[in-house]
Amino acid sequence: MADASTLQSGPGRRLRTPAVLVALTCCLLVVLALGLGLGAVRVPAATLLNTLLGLDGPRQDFIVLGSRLPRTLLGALTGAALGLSGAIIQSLLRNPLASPKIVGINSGAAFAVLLCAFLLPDAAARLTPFAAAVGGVVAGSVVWLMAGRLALDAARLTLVGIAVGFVMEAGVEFLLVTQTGPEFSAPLVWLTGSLWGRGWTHLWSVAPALGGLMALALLMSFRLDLQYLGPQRAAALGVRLGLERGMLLVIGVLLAALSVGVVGVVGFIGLMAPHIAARLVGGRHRALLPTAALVGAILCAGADVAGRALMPPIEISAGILTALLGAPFFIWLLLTEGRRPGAPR
Amino acid sequence: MIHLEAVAAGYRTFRLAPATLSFPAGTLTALIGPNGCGKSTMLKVMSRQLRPSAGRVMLGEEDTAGLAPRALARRLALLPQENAVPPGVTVVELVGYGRAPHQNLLGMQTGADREKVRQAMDRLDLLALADREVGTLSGGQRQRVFIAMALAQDAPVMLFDEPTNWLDIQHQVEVLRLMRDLAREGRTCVVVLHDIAQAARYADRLVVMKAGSVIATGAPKAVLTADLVRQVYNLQVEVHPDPVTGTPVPVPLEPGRDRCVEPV
Repeated sequence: MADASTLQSGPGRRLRTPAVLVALTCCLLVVLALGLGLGAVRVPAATLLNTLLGLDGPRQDFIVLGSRLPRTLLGALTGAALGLSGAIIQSLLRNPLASPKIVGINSGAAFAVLLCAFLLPDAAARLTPFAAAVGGVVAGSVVWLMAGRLALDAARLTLVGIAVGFVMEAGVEFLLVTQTGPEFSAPLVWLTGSLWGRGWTHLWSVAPALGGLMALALLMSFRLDLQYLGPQRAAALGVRLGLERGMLLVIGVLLAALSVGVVGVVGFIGLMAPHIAARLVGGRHRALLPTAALVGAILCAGADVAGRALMPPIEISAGILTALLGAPFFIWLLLTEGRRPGAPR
Repeated sequence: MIHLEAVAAGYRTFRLAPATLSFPAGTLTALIGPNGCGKSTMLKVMSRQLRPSAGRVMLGEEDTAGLAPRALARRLALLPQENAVPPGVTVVELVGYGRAPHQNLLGMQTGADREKVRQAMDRLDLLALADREVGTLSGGQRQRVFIAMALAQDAPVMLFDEPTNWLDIQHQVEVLRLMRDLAREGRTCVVVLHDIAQAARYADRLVVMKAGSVIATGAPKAVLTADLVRQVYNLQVEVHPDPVTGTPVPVPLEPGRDRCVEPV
């Protein structure tokens, strides 16, 4: 028999959310520290501390403060945004296999970047983040508007997203096959999703927007809980379906598109992070969203530092590592998701 | 109470004929009729999930068309036929979602909210399952969770679309008694049922529909005749009194077969 006090505490089987958040934060700090210390040049811990705290003694200001700190922070920030975006999109579509990629954001961004390199070769490098964000938002909006015309149906929205994604990918491949000029080498590296050469300017160009969107997403976590109940049930509980759905989708699309714009297509984080988070803290978005953000930050920053540390001085793109890690995870997900109780039917 | 004034509605493929109907407070009304006759559509119109193409749906003195969504949800609860089960959410959390229209937009629960949730779970015999994940429950247990969610909404008007689906007979009877009790407490309860005998046994009034039109309304004993069942369901029946309650029970006749017990 459950009395009122156990009703509030939640299930014993599920890990307590605050403990999980603290543990993940510690984990993220370790990854960030590794991100500052590891790479082509190893910076010892003492030097790292001296540098960060501005103490006397051996310091590595240029490598640590000028290069690795903004790059690692940017990795964590975009990873968090991708994880959060994935969690929002999966819940909104009520599809555990959905991700920013599924609603066409990644391929929309990729197509826009290549198109930009093709049309404006001189300005391409400078315009890459902007073009990617625009492309992602346009693709996301097309999907949303088309699905909106077909009534607010999660399954159709997913299918429309896949279809739009294919069109965009066809465009990407057409440009890659027909264009071989030197101006296409930078977009190619960007396509694999890399934090190489990202600095403070990149960080500040997206940090305020991503921070604001993330805060907004966390505030809407309860509305996302209600959306998951399906349109009829949610409407019966007083949810303004179209408005709230639209707001959440715009937040999810912008989070992913801005991230892709600045670090490129780092795949699978938006797919993996929400699933790992759900296993840790359950399905309530108040717990799920911050957890997914932290997991995404750890995955992205971790993939970046691993790519730098595995075989220096060669860097492996974070996107390649997340794909290597993500593809087996995706298959495992397909194999186990149907058997998992509570998976949407 | 909820009152339909010459309400017509529909989709491209299906139309509800204009109907004027009253569902008074303190009564349990059962909507019956064959599959596809518009029972669920009627509930959708009453809960404003489908806007009427003509006429008005009045909640007391107010036109539902003018109510804000949350204000409407505080006054009218709906249990739809299909309910999605969110993964990784426990019974107490899901029932708690029923408090959404009473909470702020962030979903902060007060002590009063938690008490309503506890009462709703208690009435559906769910306290022992409070911390189980809904996805791990059986179909019948899930159905009770969703009924509890609607109950936690604590609205004076409650609409249930086939609430006895998935339930074994013990819980069917418990749920029907619960709906009758809710009506006795002064609520307006409208329930779509498939089992005519159950509808006649527990409801105060029947609304019989066929092909988008209301065919008959009234007390079960007055409405439920062999003629009506033949007209609505195209089925030959005899109507016998329920041995316990005296309410009408339609019993289908088998062509070419004599009855083995003479009617009383």
